[in-house]
Amino acid sequence: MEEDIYNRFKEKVKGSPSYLKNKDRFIHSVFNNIEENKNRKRRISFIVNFAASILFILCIGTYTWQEVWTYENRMQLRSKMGDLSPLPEPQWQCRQSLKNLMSALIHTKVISINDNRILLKKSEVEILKSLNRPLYDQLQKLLSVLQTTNPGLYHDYIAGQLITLSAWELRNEYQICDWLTP
Amino acid sequence: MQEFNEYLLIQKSKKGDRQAFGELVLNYADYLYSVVIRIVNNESEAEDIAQESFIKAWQCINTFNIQRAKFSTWLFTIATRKAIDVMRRNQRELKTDLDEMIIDDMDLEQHLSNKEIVKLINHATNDLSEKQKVVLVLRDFEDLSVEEVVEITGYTEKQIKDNLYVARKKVRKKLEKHVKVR
Repeated sequence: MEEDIYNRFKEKVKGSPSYLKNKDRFIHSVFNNIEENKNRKRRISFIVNFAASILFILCIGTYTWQEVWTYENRMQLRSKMGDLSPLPEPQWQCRQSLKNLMSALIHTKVISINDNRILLKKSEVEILKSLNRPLYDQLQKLLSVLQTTNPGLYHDYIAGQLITLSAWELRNEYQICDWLTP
Repeated sequence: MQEFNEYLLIQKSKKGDRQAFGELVLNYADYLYSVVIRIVNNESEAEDIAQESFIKAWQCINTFNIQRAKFSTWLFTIATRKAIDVMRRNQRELKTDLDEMIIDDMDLEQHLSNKEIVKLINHATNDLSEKQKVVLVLRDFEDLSVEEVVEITGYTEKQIKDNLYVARKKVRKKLEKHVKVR
């Protein structure tokens, strides 16, 4: 009896194993891919670490900046809530007085402000004399303080040049607080 | 002796020894390729799958437990699952019109090349589902035990038996219909 055709087919397939055409090339290719994967993983890991570092630095920077920038306000707020000794009053007052002075100057529309810095020019300040005498006097006092703390800058002002002053500079470099909050 | 050698190669590979892993690739490359090509019926795809399987094996070799399974079974598991994925992807392409082709009876007697074997299996197994094909290849062409097929494919014993029964029947029917006896 003729052997079952399926069994013949099965034996034929079993007896005819397939071989790779080029085994060396195959192995070489396997290791090349392994190396490539490894390099890819290294690259991804480097990018992830780099991004994480940047993010970490940004977070720390933002946190520190927030802490410094809001320190005085927070202290004042907490002192008002009664759970902390208040911020030294003169320091707070100085900040407030400077803020008021700058707002008043902006309000006159004679003195310009750029990027939180007041731009002072003698000719413009003189206009203020007729418009708002009390503010003019206050500004003169400020300029007299500047004369002692930064004579060079004051000289420029007197010579008619434009000088710029920020609130921070006035408080920390020109000791304006001593004058504003006696 | 051979098992002991394989055990050593696996242990070395786990420690990152590429040369040892290269030996394993050398030992199993043809065998794995032969199994995969019988499933996917495409030389270049079979080579790619075999390559990817070795790469995956290298990446996951630390998870391989020699007490639990044979290295070949573990490797087949990786390759078979990749082959099933490829079959699913290519399902439409594989459904070529092979009903019109005639298999020469002499083919079952002669020595066949890779291409001819692929063609022959493709002719005979074209109508099988992926489960039927995988089970047929592993059980009948590779002579693996039911337990090994369960481990490799993840199918239940019943699924394997049922699919194998249907697969054999379909292939037999097709061979009877299309083999031209000279």
